[in-house]
Amino acid sequence: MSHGNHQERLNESLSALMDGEVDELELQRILRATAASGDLSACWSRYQLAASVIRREQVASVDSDLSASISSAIALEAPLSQTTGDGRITATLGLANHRWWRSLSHGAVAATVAFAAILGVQQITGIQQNTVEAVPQLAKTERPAQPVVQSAPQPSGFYVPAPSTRSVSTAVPRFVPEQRSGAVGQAVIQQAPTPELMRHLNRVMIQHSEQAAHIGSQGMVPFARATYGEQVGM
Amino acid sequence: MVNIVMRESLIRIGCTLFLAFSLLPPLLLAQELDDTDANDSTTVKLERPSAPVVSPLPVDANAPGAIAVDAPTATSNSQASSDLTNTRVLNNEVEQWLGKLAQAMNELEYSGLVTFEHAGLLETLQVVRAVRGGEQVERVRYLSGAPRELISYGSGGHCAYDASPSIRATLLNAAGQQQVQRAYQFILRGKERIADRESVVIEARPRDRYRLGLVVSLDRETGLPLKSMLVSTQGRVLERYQFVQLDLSPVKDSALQAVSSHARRIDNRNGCDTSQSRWQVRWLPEGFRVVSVKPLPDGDMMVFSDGLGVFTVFVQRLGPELEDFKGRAIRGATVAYMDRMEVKGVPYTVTVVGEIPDATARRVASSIVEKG
Repeated sequence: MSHGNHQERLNESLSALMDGEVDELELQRILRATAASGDLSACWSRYQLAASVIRREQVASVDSDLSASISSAIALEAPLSQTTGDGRITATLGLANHRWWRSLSHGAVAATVAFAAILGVQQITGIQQNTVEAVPQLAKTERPAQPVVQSAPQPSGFYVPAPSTRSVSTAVPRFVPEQRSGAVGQAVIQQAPTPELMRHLNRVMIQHSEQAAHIGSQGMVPFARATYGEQVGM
Repeated sequence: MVNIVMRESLIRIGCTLFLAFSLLPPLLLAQELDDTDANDSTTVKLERPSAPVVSPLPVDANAPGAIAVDAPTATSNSQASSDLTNTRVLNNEVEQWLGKLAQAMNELEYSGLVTFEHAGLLETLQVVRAVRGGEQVERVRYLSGAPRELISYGSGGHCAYDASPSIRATLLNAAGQQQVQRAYQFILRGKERIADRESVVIEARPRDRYRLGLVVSLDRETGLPLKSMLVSTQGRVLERYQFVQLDLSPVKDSALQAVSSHARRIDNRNGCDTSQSRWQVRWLPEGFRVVSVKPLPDGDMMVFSDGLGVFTVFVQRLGPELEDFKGRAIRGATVAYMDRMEVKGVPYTVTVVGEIPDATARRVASSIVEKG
């Protein structure tokens, strides 16, 4: 089990490295570990490959064999963002989960920006909600909520800001009121936005921009904004 | 005299160009996360009621040698008097440019190609603007991404921002300029070449942290903004709109016709909506005033402006599926902050949308009450 935890920590560090978020010390640790372990460097390759696929980058000569191996590579990483078999979740795993999702969300950010670039809506569904219920919900919404769509007017998944703190929490993530989202050791659980929410946001942004075009001294810039998120046939 | 002005401008350019332009490349997607985090923490700080925010130079207050137009920092007397004279010269020059800008906004006909950039994304647009029968007709069409097109008729020229008959022309008269100068400090930054034309760079630097900064490059000949950038309180460029090509020849009627079959049309020829709202905004950043109030099928919409920046407050009764949302969405320089409010047991959704800092949107949203 201790080996497993160690591996998880390394995976987590790798994920952080993908985000460009490791410090000098951690980088050294990863480099040492990578040199010693073939597994870890393979894992790194898989992360990179998965990230490329998510970003829709051209992966050299994608034949069916390679796509299959990419798919299996993604499948291999999947357990990182899921709860353990018995439904409980450890703090480390929770963080790894978060890390992995974060690097996923980078791809999602790209997609969202290319789309209508509505980013960062947080939904706070209230603190009273049962945390045991909350965790599977998180796992469920994280994964499929990040479709990769290029430059289409309908906003895709929301990018959800992750807590900036890297400290390992001893508890599962909790719902917290937004005002305290910056607090140390707490995580805000957010959900993918609903289509209704996206429609509402798009609508108010367009209405605002149309008014602003006639008010500010910005010339036609607000029209560019108003039209930007517009959906064909709206 | 001219020499001195030049020298000062150069100093200013030297220390501020870094700010304006070196900040563009880092608009990488990978940094979005961290930025949002940073914004969050800033927001938290700003929201502390016991910590009044007094920062007249939020954009680059730390840059040495940044000399404000109306706040000379000279030590010796002779230096001070010469700075004061320079200040007046600069002020006059800025005012002339602002007047020219307002005039271009109202009268100029043009067509051109524009790049529109935010959050690391670049889109290209075709823009056409003409005056027909005294009303402005404007067409915007995206040349990249999904086909999107908008044609706008009329200018909403009846919307009044105090003294000015047309809010778009706020900067035309001295009174309007004074209003705007209370909220922003205008700084002449030098010149640059855009779309093969010479332009003058002017920065509108907010005097507090409640609004965004604006850097515009005005066409020397016409005063038309060839480039405009919105700058956050942290000094990051949030959005850039820049001409690639500008054609000032008279616009043909055919150029105002929609290219795509699904172009959207908006008509503002009927004047400004000035209905009464049952809602009251108890906190507004200095200089912001209500410009227009418009009833919606499900609520009210109130538009506020300080002469440059604009934000809109929506108070709506939305369906139950939207009642629980609280938070913010960001698209480019535009933020939408959603909050809930209950009045006599009825839930309302408050959404503040605008090119304003998150903290401003949040504070405005939380200050809305029913009148009376």
